[in-house]
Amino acid sequence: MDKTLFDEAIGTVPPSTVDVEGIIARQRRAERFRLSAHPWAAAAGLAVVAVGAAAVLAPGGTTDAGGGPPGGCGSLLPTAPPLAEDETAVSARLSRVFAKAVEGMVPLGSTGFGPTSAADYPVGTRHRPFEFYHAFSPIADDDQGGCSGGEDHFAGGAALSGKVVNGNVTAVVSRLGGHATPMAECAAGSVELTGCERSTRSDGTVVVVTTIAGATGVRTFRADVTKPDGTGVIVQAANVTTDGKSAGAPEAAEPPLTHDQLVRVALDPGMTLYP
Amino acid sequence: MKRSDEAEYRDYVTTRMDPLRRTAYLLCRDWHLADDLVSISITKLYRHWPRAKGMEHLDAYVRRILFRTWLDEKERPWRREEPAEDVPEGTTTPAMGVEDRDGLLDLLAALPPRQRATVVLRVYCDLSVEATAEVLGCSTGTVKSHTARGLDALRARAAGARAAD
Repeated sequence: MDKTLFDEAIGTVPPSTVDVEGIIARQRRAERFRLSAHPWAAAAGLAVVAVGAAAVLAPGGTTDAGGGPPGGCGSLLPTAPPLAEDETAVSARLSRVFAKAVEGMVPLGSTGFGPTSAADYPVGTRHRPFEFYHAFSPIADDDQGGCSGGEDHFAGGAALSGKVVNGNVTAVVSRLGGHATPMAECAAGSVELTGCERSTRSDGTVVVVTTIAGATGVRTFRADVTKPDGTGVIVQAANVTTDGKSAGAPEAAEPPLTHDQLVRVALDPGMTLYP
Repeated sequence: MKRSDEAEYRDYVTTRMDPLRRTAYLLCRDWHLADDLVSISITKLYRHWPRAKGMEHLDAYVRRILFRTWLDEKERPWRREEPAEDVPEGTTTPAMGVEDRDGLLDLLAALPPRQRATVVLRVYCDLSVEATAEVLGCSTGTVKSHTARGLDALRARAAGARAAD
């Protein structure tokens, strides 16, 4: 087996959707934003000051950066304020809000709720239906300019099974600017995207709804909501009870919740990190 | 970033675009996702370009960003991919004997992510065991084990597919 065999198997390569000029333009803007938002960083040396400035407490007493982000890794930290609640309180509160919102949208008598592998965290650890957990990993410098880790979000999910609906629903709630910041634009070239609509509410909330079609017929509806208070919410539903990325066949024609319902869940005033 | 650095960056990523996209495609088997992975990787590269451009092994550095980006994606709870089945225990013979390339990508896609990454790095990118270990951040023993098990699984599945025909 060699490289040629793989190249032949790949066959014709479709035109690239990688937008190099767009990436350059976005990074220029981000650089300008960082410098204007943190002028002290430009004056005193970005890397050194970023470590100090970012050493704010995250929920549960952990630090955002696990000792401080090195160099450019600081740009991966959330820009929204730190949280007032500890992670246990946040998880419990979001679990209640999420469960109540979803349960109010499906036929309760004929729908069962179970855990879903889509919400396993860490790998292999199954959570109760709708139970939120805090996913956190410190940002680490790999000493060659690269960054790893940086997870800092709350997530939960449930499998829905019944005569009317079958599938899963998951939610991710995070401080804006970090690892799990929702989409705020309908970006070309997004993963398996077959539909995307963007709108802005009167209070400045940005809503992006998408449909993602997987290779095995799995369909995922997703709502990305950027809230003015600094909270990002991603709620998605797929027509499989496991993980939408698994190779399993769809278990229903459509996901258990519509785009509108997902948006309503995400816009619930309780789905916030700043109650 | 200085405009001159930006021009060098543009030249570099444009020149390397095709092999990067092919490698990413082998990892995820989806051209849209492959382009997303490349976009994320070269965005990270842009942030570190002033430091990275002088590296002796810049290609290896970029490849490392790409693979780690992909593995990070796999570990996100809302994007996690599960292997289709457990990979059978196998011997550690280094022979690479999958002869039937039909369905090769199907077979590759069925491997667990780290085995898939190891096979792509060793066979497609032609990296040494040591270089592969460096990219994946693991030991050389793990690379040897992943390579052997990955190739064994490819051979077993290829044989199974032929028998079914």
